[in-house]
Amino acid sequence: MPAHVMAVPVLDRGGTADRLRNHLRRRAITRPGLIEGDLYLLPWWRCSGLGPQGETSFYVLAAEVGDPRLHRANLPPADLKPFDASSLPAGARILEATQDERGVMARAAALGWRVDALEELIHYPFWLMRIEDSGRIEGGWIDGVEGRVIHHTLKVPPPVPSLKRCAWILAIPALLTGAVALAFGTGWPVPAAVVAIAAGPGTTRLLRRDARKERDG
Amino acid sequence: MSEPAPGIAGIRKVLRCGACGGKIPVEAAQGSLNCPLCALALVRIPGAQELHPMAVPRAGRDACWNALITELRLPFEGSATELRSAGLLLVPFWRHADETKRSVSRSGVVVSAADLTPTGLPSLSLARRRVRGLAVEQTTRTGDGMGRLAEGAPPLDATVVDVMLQPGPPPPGAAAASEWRLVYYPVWSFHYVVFSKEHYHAVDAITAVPIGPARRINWPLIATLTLATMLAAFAVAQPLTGAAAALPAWIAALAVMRALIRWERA
Repeated sequence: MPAHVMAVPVLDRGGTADRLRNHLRRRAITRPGLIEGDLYLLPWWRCSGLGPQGETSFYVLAAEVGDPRLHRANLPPADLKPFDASSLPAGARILEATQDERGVMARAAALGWRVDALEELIHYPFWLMRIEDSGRIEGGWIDGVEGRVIHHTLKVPPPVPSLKRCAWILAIPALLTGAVALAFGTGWPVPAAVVAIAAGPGTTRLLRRDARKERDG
Repeated sequence: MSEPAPGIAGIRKVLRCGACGGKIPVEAAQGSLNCPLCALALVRIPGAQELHPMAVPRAGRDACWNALITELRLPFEGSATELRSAGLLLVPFWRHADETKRSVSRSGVVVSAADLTPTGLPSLSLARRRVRGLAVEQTTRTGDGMGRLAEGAPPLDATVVDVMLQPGPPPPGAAAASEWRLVYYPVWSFHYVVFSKEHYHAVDAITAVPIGPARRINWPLIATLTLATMLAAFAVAQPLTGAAAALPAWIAALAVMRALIRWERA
């Protein structure tokens, strides 16, 4: 019977949020708002066989969380102790190992690895963080030991124009409207409406062009 | 060891249907099947004693990928866009409904049982019951809406996502007879690269509509409402401040534009 152990979580929610924010800042992604998350204990099989770089011991995820990036995660070293759910922080979510030996071997084979035997079941802490990004909640995985394994989908440049950019875009029709009021006196409403209508397509085009930058990089 | 009797050679287990409670003999390698009693399509979870209802995917990989291309207007000049992988996921959701009052027109409460936000599938919760493009609530109102597995069709090649979240208390106003039940919903998960940048997006495998983050922002609507606000604010302030009304009009338009962008994105 393979041993069942757990890696002791080191990072708390605040520390994880700080690490993630710093990670994003280093990539010039400074816009995220609130960052919060939940601690998961994900099951991994330590397998013996032939790994991606010729190693004879590697880890294969024993559950399915829908994120293929976690299938090939390189787990940082951690203090291991016999699995004891009662010693975990309150609110930690434990995922059971749902992949049997055949499933683990198939998953490893799909990655080009070879599993000879399942040595040890390790529940390893990962934080699933929720990051507020320009009104939308994005997700990210970060390991709960060193905060080094990080998977998210945030990009730079930002997905929408910044506040400053919006202010510049709107300053043009605002100034034109003010100028129309000065020029036409009490008869300003009709020319101001013409300005607003004419500004519509131009504003749309500027906003679209800015938004396309995120996709094109 | 004696050979198993003919006719039951493939049967390994008797599992319970999660919808009707009937006992169903299931072959060892069988991952999905129609319940012979209630006719719902069921999915088998490794190690579980119960089979759970699932919505049968109707849109194939190509149809969903094309929908995503159209939605995002992905560029293809010089192989700018490259599809890395595509997988059909059966994503678990908790559905709270009174089984005695199921109907096409009666909505239920559906919340996520797995958090797939890192791969572009927003979560449903009691606070947020709708995600644009995700038709899980409407599809799972009735068994007919969820579809049936075709007779003789090849086995469903889908990855079943594990349950990560337990349901909370019943929603306010729920009937005493109602309860949370697990239902699996098909979603195509695409991993692709545009100009060397990795993207993950999900597409509803029933309706072939991109979900959540894939949706385009309606920029013409934002521009129109913003400029209309600017004009209205200017009209209100102009009799008091003259041409200087452009300043409050600009600020009001800016606030409306930011609010609209956030609303459109979320």
